[in-house]
Amino acid sequence: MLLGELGPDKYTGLWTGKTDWKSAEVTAALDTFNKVLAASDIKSSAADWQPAADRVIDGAAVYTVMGDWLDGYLGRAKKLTFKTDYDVAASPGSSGVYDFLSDSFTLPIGAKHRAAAEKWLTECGSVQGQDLFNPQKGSIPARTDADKAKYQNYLATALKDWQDPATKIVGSLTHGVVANNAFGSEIDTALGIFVQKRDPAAFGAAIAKAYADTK
Amino acid sequence: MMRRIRAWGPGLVLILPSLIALAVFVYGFLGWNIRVSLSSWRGLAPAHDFVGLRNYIALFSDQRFTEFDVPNIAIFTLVFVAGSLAIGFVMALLLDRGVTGENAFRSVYLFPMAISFIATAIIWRWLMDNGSGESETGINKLLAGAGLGALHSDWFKSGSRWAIAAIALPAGWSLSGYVMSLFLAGMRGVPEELREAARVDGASEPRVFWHVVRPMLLPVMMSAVVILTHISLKTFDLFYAMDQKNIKIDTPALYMWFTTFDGGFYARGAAIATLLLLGVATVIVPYIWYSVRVERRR
Repeated sequence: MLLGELGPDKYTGLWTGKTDWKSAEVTAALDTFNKVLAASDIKSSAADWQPAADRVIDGAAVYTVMGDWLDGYLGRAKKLTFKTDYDVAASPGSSGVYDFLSDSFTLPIGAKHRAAAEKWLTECGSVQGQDLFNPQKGSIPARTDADKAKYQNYLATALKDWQDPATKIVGSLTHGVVANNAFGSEIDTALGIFVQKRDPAAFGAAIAKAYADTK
Repeated sequence: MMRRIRAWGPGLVLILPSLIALAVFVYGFLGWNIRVSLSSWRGLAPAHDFVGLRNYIALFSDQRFTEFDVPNIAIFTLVFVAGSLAIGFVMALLLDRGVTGENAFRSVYLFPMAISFIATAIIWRWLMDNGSGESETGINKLLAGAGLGALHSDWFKSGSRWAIAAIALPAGWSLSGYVMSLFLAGMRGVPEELREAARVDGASEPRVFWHVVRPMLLPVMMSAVVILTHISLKTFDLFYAMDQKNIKIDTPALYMWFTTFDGGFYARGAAIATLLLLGVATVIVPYIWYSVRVERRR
């Protein structure tokens, strides 16, 4: 919602301190979020994304705002066909923007089997490893030399957007790209309270304080 | 001197392992937790500084803690303890009348306690699902099938301040059988002669119960209240598996876990844990004081 309303540059500014969480534009964006909440099932606000997607499959919900991995769930787990059974659209205001996250493995200092771990990491990062993993999960490779034929249907459109030089790239909050664990967990708390109280000004103030405290 | 050591020496050696384990794992870590709550530790690297009561003061102006967690746990404890006591007591009363197959009933009512709260929560999450129409399941569907569709409830997903009271249902289901066995043991402990004496004096059965049995159940009731209250205050798994991150059923124990291990706010988590300990202590300390006094009188 903040990305769609503020645009990619000001959205990124929220995480670097350049956009003020207490500003009028942020409050206005949160007011719009309130309107969306009024039409949502907020009783299940703590539910996981799969039950939410199931409602769309059952026809009880119109749409769900979710990431590329939903394609893995719909296309593979639920055996639905892209374009005939389900379709996608950029959420309002986010056309030409890619909100990204990446899956990563860490190699700890002092790892016992460093050589084996390095082999695993090399395999994961190789063209072959990327092309084996991504289509199964419902994600796209960061590598530009991956085999495009392996990414069909929705993933083909996602890969095209990702590699388009005109696409603006921003980072996902939920997956820890733009906020550290401390800030992220304070945002979780503030969001939980916001969904109950619906007070944009209080939410903005709480996040601004959390940002300053966890910088 | 030698004789004295011979008298209590073997006993001491016997309990020494558990005494040491207790000293380290209970009181040692308790002390460490309090120490952490007085530091500014945040993130994976421990901080050993000293900031006084800052973390506690911050909690008292923390909206999640004061407006959600504390009222939530108070409501849950009230409904859970009162409900389990009432149901356990009634079940004990019925079994005490001498039912055929008493052993079977006793085991059946006690079984839910053997199931972990995680498993209980997963079953009851489905039973208390709030879906309607085609996706109606669990208790709501049962009610609708019995023509009581008007009682359809959102349970713990309700918008009401009392949403957390719904969780007292599975918690009570788990523990009321245990309360029943406590009360049953208490009722059986009342000597038959006392009841008979009252009957000879012309007392009706309800009066026998009220004036003879009830006063003797007071110690049982006290221990039941203490056990249930401390379970209630520290329950974590039931809420976690039911609907984690639903702030309507958030409690100090959950906040402690999420803020410490998701956010890395170790000092704040330790402060919440210490406050929880104080909460449990306000229930247990008077009880211990009372039982010590009673034992001294004997």
